[in-house]
Amino acid sequence: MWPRVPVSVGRRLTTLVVVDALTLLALLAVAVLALSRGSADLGYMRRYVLPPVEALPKAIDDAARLEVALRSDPEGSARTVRVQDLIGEIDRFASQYRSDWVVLDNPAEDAARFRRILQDAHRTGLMAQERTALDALFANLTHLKQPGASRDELVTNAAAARRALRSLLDVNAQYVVVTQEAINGRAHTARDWLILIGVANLIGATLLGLAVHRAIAPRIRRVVKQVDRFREVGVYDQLTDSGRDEIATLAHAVDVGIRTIAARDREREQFLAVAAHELKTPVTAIAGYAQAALENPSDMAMRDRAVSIIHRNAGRLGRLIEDLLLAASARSGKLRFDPKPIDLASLTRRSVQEVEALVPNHPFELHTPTTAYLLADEDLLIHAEWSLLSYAAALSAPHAPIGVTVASLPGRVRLEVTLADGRLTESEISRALSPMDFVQYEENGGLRQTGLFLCREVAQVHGGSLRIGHSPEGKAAVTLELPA
Amino acid sequence: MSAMRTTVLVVDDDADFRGLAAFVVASQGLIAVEAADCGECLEVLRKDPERILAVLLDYYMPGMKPGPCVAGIRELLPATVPVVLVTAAVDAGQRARELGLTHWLSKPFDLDDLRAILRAARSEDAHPAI
Repeated sequence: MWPRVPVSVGRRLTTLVVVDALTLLALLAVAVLALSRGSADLGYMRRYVLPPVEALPKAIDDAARLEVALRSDPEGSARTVRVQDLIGEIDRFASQYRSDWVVLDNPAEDAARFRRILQDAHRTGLMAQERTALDALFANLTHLKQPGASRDELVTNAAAARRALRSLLDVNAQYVVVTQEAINGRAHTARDWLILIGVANLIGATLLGLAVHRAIAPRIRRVVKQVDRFREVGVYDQLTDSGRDEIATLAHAVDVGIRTIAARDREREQFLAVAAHELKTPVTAIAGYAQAALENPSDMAMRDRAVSIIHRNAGRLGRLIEDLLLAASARSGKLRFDPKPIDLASLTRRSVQEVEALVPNHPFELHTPTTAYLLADEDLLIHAEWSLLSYAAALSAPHAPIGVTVASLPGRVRLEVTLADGRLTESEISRALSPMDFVQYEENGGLRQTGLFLCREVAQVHGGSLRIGHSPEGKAAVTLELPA
Repeated sequence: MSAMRTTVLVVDDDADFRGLAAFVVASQGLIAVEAADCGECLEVLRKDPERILAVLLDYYMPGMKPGPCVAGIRELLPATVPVVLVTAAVDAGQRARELGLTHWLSKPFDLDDLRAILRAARSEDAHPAI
């Protein structure tokens, strides 16, 4: 079966084209051969058959007039000027015939070809007939030129010469017929070959075309069907094509494309599920405490507590939504960047204060210079710092200090956050940088955030970098470095 | 006749939710005990399983996975004590069934739903089905 043969589609189509081209060449060769042979046959006829056919009637006429002249000669000597002229004409014709047109002894290649034609047509007797007639003509001419011959002898020889010439005319007429038959025969043979090759090509090309179609079309249909199925119902079935040709390559590429889209869909669904979960958590607190406060209007302590919790969770919710939107923008490469001079030391002090209020069990040890100016987008930098600080809080044990150091270096500023304890595994680092994941962490007072993906994207949009590693003391450390 | 069960164990890593649930539990005349993860939950159960009326259990928590957590709870509590899955997961009912639980609350929920569950638990405890 064709598809099992590891032949490329291109090679199959090339084979088809080559077969057609070879057929065309064969057709051309047959046509050229037939034409050249026909032309050769016609050439011989034009050079060696038609000239004597044209000249013989005059020679016959000369012989007839010679005979009449001899019969009407009252003296019977037959040596009048007129008689001598006619004998001379016939003699010149005979000499030319013998030197130029006789077939049997002619050494020319065309003559040899014509002899083969006569042989093929079983008409070699014509050459003997020509020879006999020519010999007879020369014998008669010898007698006609002989002095002292009687008038009757001269008349008899003139009549015999006329018959010999007639015979030569008959022979040459037969030559014309044989030549025409040969040309016709070659034309028929060429026609038969052309038809045979044409039909063979038609059948061959059709079979080859069907085979190529059979090898390609079902596999392409299979690919299209799978793509349609994925497009219509979103179901991914692995596309397998055991071939090793361009169709298999195409199927593999389509399979990889669909698989990537399916994986991205799953990733998005998972992200939405987790995002919904994370969003519902502060919403639950907001809705629940609001309901509790409404149901207990006289409980002032409850009301105050509810307002505080609702306020805090509304803040959490807003920041989470902002994080998600920024993460989505970063993922699609559309993170807006509006830089202006910012003091990172001051900004970090403020961020630490805000985060610390949310995670009272996580003390921060802050080391900053008086100022550390850089050109940055303030909103993005605030989100990056929040991500960084809450990530550190999420992964640190309660009451263990988290180090936050801002340093102003030549041409850049650095914010380093050292986690209170522990080392990060490669898996944790990878997960922290995933755009579609949330960091799972220990008890932390309810702070949830989207990992360090946004932080890294913010660093990149500023032309800086984010590094996750370990301090010399073996503590996990995240370093955000930005150009000043 | 055994003593009435009056304590509801609230297991959730979100402190705000634990506070809210504890408030509702208290408003029903019951005692709320909070646990931030399954480890703490099992510790409480080991100490005083006789008083537990119901367990409100979050699905996503640090530490132990939900399956082993429920199995641990079931080892320490009789089957008549309801374990209520309280989760913000999209498919709360499906996850509850996977854990072999028949009660669940999908966050955010109406506080009356939680009250109804607590009343039903108290009623079942007072008049157990034979």
